[in-house]
Amino acid sequence: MRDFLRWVLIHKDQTKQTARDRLRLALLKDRIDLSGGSMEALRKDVLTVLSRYMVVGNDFQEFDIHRSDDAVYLVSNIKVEELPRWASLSDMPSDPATTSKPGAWWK
Amino acid sequence: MTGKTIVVTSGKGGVGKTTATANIGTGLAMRGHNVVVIDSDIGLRNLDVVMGLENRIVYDLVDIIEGRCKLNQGMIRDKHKLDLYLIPAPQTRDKDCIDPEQLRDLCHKLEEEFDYVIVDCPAGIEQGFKNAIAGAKEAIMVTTPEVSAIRDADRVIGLLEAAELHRPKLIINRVNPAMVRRGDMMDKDDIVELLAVDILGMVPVDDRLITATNQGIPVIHDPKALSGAAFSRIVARIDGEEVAMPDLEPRTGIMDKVKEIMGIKGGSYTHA
Repeated sequence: MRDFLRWVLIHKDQTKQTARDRLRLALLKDRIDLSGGSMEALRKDVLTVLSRYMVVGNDFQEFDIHRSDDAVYLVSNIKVEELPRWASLSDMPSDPATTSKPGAWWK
Repeated sequence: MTGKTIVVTSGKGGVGKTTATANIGTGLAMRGHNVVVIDSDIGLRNLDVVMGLENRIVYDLVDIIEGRCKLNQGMIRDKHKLDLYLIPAPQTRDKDCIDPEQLRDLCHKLEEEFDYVIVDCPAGIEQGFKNAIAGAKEAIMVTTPEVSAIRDADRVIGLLEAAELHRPKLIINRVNPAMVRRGDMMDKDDIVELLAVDILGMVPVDDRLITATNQGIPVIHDPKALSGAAFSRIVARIDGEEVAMPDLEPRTGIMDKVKEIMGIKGGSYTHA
């Protein structure tokens, strides 16, 4: 109802939101273009975190920023080589990050 | 005495850097500070005409840097007898004729004499930009509420950060309150959120600013101008004063009442 009244009184869509959305995406894309070496640092960090939970291939098959017309995506394909066998959920450490050797606690 | 050098920059051209510089410099002088404004846009001088001093230029920035005149010979006093001086840009040289160290040294020298050294930066991110920011301790970003201007501002904020000029303050120029009210122009909250910077003030679009500039008088001298009042508040904030930023003032028209009751009133502000 309110939307209808808004439409009746304003007679057109507000363009502010369009400007805002376009600007947000343009800033994202610009900042990614300029981020340079940080993608490699991110790849290493992701590998470290994943290794706390499973054994994965060192060289990610894909790890890239993809852009569509209305969003920016981080796309990755990572080969899983080994997974732990959980006896129960309680086997999982509550915070794998605190284990001294990432990836080793479940072997 | 140790003054402070502030660079006024934007990235995109035509958003009101030079107008902002003239008004900030004038406003600080009106508050009793002694101020020098530097036009660093070599080859495209403009600050002189905005301040109405174009007929008094004898020497320029490069003459001072290259020692062809004494520092006090190269500074033009404001015609309103304020403690305000202009160092104009040369019109016949190009931006590579000085380097950042030279401008930084000049700013430091001026800081010994002046409370504020305000540098008007050229548009773009090339040599002229690097020169202009070299001596600055603080930066003011000027933008308009348009996608292109804000996008360039984001890029420049990144470059300022890389040059150790942290937390630049933002001026949003040429805000059209009626369009903001209709939802057809981004408001300060949208822009501040996207750029993640502190806001120094907003300046409404204003015919009186154009008529003042036509006469070579910074609009801050015009007591009736909303844009001049906005610049006065900006200057007070630069001077360390806490000044409220009026945001959306309710309007009193019947249709606005109707809209308010139905919850679709955007509100309006005359200035901020």
